[in-house]
Amino acid sequence: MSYSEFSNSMTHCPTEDVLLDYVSGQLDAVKVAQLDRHADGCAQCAALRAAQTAIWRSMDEWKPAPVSEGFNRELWRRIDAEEQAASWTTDWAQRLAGMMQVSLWKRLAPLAVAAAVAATVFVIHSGNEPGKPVTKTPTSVVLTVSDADQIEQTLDDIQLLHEVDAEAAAAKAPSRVM
Amino acid sequence: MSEWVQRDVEAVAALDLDAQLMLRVREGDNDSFRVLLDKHRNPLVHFLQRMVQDAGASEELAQEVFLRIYRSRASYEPSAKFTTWMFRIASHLALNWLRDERHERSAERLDGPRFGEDRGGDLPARELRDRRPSVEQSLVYETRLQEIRDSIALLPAKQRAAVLMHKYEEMEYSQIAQALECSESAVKSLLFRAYETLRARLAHLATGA
Repeated sequence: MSYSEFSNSMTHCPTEDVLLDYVSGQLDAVKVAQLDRHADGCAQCAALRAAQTAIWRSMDEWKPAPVSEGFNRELWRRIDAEEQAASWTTDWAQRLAGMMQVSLWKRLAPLAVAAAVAATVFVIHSGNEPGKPVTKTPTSVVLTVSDADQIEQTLDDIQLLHEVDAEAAAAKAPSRVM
Repeated sequence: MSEWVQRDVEAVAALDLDAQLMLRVREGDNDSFRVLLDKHRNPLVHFLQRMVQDAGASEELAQEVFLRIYRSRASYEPSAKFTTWMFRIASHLALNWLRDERHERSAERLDGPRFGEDRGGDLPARELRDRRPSVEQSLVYETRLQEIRDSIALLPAKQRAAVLMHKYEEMEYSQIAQALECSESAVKSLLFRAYETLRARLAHLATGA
């Protein structure tokens, strides 16, 4: 509110925000004097000023309780716990992503091998005489679960060998540089 | 970030030491967060104590406020005063808490002690013990205080938040408006209605004072 607006308002009763500013000590001295002069001649404003001042002072009596001593400690404990959980999650997400990358080709390779074997079986079977059971053919192959496991195991071994080779190459590399 | 936004951010940061500290927290400086915590812990907990009138819940809510501030440090931009932002989070949490607790409070009023007597009712007693008043003074004081707390507790939650920020945190209308996510005129309206109610409920204190 501008000074002129305030002055005009003092010819009438002040608005309530002026009264609140008065009671809370946010009005400057000139405006305080104006409001006091007005209230001296206006019973309604004088009553409102007295009531609001009384409320304001009564509310001052309400002192809050002290904050617990362990407040900061508890907060930092929670922050640390959250950060640990976040770092654990990130760590495992990265590990899982790495594992997925390594194992993807291993998971697909047995399927490819199984498909190749099945195709071979089909070719051999199609060359047999009609009506003769396939299982009796000495060249026929039946792919079992243990076979698939064995293939996967073999692929694991191959990957292990690759890794050993790679490590050996890495170990040799500095000596070559030197 | 546009040039205008950048200028705005810089202007707020220049004015607000807290915003500068928070910018350091954003860069990973936990010591600056400790400074902010030490500076604002008490006003925040006290605001929440008066807001929810439950000592345990107020500290729990204050912890949540600081946790949310810490969690959002990476994306912090000083677009408003730090305290305004902090009280905005606090008001939001307190209003939600009050909404969730409303049913329990109604049940307590029907057949139990009056609101405030069992929630932080030990607070004035602790102060009175320190002052060593007479029994009569203690009773008068405690009754007055209880009436004030009850009168404020009975205000609609948003009016209560506005009054507490205006009276105890000495926040400007514009800050309260930002914290409560409403216009300045709406804040004035909330305050006028709240103080009018308090004047009516506590008129006898004014005449007896």
